[in-house]
Amino acid sequence: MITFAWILQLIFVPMLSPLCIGIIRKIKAILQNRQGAPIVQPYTDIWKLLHKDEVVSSDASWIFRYAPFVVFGVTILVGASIPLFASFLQNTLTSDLLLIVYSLALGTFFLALAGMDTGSAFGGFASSREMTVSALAEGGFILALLTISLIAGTTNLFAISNAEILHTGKLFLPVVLAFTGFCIVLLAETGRFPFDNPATHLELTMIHEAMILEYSGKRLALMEWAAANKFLIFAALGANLFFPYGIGEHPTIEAITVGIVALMLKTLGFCLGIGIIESSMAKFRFFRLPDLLITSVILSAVAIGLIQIL
Amino acid sequence: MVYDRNDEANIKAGFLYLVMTHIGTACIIVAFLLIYNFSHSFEFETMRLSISAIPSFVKNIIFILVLIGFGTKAGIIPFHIWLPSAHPAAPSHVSALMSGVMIKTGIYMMIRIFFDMFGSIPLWWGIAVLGIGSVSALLGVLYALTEHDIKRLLAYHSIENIGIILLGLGSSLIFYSLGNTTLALLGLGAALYHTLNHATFKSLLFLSAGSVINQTHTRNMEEYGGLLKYMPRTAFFFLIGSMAISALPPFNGFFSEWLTFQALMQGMSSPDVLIKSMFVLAIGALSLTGGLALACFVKAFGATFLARPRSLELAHAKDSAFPLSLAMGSLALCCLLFGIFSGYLGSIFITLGESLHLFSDVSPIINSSPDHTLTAPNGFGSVSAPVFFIFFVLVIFLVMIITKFGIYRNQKIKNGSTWDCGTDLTPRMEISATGFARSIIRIFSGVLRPSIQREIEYRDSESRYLSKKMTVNLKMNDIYQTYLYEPLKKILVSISIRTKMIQSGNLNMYVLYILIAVTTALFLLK
Repeated sequence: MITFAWILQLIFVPMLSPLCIGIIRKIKAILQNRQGAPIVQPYTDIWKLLHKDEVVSSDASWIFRYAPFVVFGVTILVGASIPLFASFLQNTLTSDLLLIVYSLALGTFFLALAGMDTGSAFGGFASSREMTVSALAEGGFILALLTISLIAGTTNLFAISNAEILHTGKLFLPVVLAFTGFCIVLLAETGRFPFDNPATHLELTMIHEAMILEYSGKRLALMEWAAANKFLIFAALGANLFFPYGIGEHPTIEAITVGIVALMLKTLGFCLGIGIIESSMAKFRFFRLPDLLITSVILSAVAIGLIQIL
Repeated sequence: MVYDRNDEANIKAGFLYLVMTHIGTACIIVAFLLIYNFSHSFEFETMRLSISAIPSFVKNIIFILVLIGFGTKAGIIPFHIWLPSAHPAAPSHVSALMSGVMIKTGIYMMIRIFFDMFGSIPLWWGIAVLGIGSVSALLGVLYALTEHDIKRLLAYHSIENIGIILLGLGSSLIFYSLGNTTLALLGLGAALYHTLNHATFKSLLFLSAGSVINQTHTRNMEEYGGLLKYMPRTAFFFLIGSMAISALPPFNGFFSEWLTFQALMQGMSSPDVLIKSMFVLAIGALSLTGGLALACFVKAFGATFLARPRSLELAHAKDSAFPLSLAMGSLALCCLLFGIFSGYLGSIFITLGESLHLFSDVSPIINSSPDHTLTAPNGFGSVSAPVFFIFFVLVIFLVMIITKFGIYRNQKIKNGSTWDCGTDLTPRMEISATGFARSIIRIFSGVLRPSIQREIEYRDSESRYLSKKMTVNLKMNDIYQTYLYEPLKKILVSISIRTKMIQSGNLNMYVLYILIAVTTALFLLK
């Protein structure tokens, strides 16, 4: 049973992440009175890209060629190290909060380098913007997760998702404040409105899409897939650390099923929220983004202050 | 350091270094003389035993003097001004030694005096060190982002890393004065571990930067670009150094920062509001520093080694010679190994800390048995570097094998030129080092005070629509220079002018001075 759960844990994120992207696109289509593509479209897109020939820029170095593997590999590694549907899969070796944050930063590092490697102006500026946003988001990210780890008394993510105190719903206010801060970071790190527009074809506003502009074929498939994985990772972190209801605590088939259903429902909630945000508001001007990110830091700092008073 | 004495900038940097270290030395001498007043000996052991006789007021003065004295040598903000001008002047291997070893002696003496000599530590000492550490780390990395001189950039990163070391040290002092010796040991271990790590990756970065400067004859990053194709080994080692200093796992920088984070987090659960908010600020500073350092090294690596060369000079660049490559390679290997064996190293440093007199009575020892996992006390967290490393390599290897051979094996890869909207792509279109950091500079303009001057020359004096030439001058105003050192200099100069009045040039006057001095001395010594 445990082996089965581990295998499921390992392939869960890459298997289901394109579905989340498909769902978000469908929700946006419905809100915009369109029919929209079927929700399995991202799978067929990735499959199609994996069977295409490739063009690589003659200016590109090995950084450009190998970055997709590192970026995608990091999301697999992180996806397997965070609590998804079962908190009984205790792992004290790689599921530390800071290790997860900095592993994701490793992916961003190579993504930004790959953007600069081809010498195109779009890639370079996108890397600059991406690093600006992710540098400022890091404070909010770490502080939001720290709030929860202070409540639970550990930085191990599985132990946090298993903490009794979070299940009882005491300390509701700090958790909600930190969660709000986390949601801002989620939008920034996964390249969503109001930070970035994932559907744009206008170069001036692109961040993530401009960095991967020179990619094609298999490498583009990996980059797109990695972005989808990153979204599911953030959604799972938000769902399981702040509101770990329904997560499987015992290695039984029922607990795992309940865990998967609960995670999918919570992720659906994130998809719905992002769909509504992207259909109802405009992208922010780049220099207004720091205000939003600093707000997320302050929310988490206030949440940490509240823990003690309660 | 004044190796090339024909260069005026070198002489100036040398003098600044001389003056600053002498101010530091003066503070240190006064501090030791104050202790001597009570111990009547310069023997460290005797000084330690007689420290309890010193009144707390004098102790506080000694603390401030030691902090300024050794802080100047370590390069903490605001006594750092000699560091960024000394490094570009010195040859690169000297820079590597200076950053790797020399500035660490300041840290060593701080540990020696605070932990070894002083038995009781007031709370505000730790808070002061923690505050200085946060400011040094954050401002160090912000100033580094504004630089396009590669050695000044690395010099500012030394300031940042000294800040991170002081965060560990400050938390340790706070925990010690609160009586929690286990956590104090954790903070001290983190500081020592980061000291070692900084020595390895900063030496590696200075050596590889030196080899780039050697080939290109300039320190200006705006003239680099595309060097990865000409100097592949150097580029690879610089990449490893960049990843280590940006605290990316599985390299060593991450694990010492992890320990520092753990020490700071433990402090956050303190019931005292002041201490708690100090620790929250320190964690905020450390996490922001981490993010900005990452951005800074994407800029440094990208502008130096990626895309196309921005000047014709670079076509002659050759890779580093074998001995230099060997030196860099072994340092790069150290960066990886010190990361993978972080569990063992962490326990070594904590055992080292235990040998101090302060911690002789600590019973619950953390991390005492060497293990592959790095563990924080109270079960707060643990991380295993070897498992992460193996998992990481395995995953990437598998992904590569599957995508290459598992799916569509007959894929054709052809070379093409970068898409550029149909124009001719030139190196001028790449992002420059200044351009890369421009948005961050603008966001932090309150601290960095950038000033921009634009000069436009128009094609036609009548109409102002068609410009012929445009010059943009972007300058950072150093706030220490304007608000601390300039006023100090003014005061010093005005005092010197006043004292000049007694220099009349008349021999009889000088004989009178000698007479007055001798009589006063006789009266005083009577």
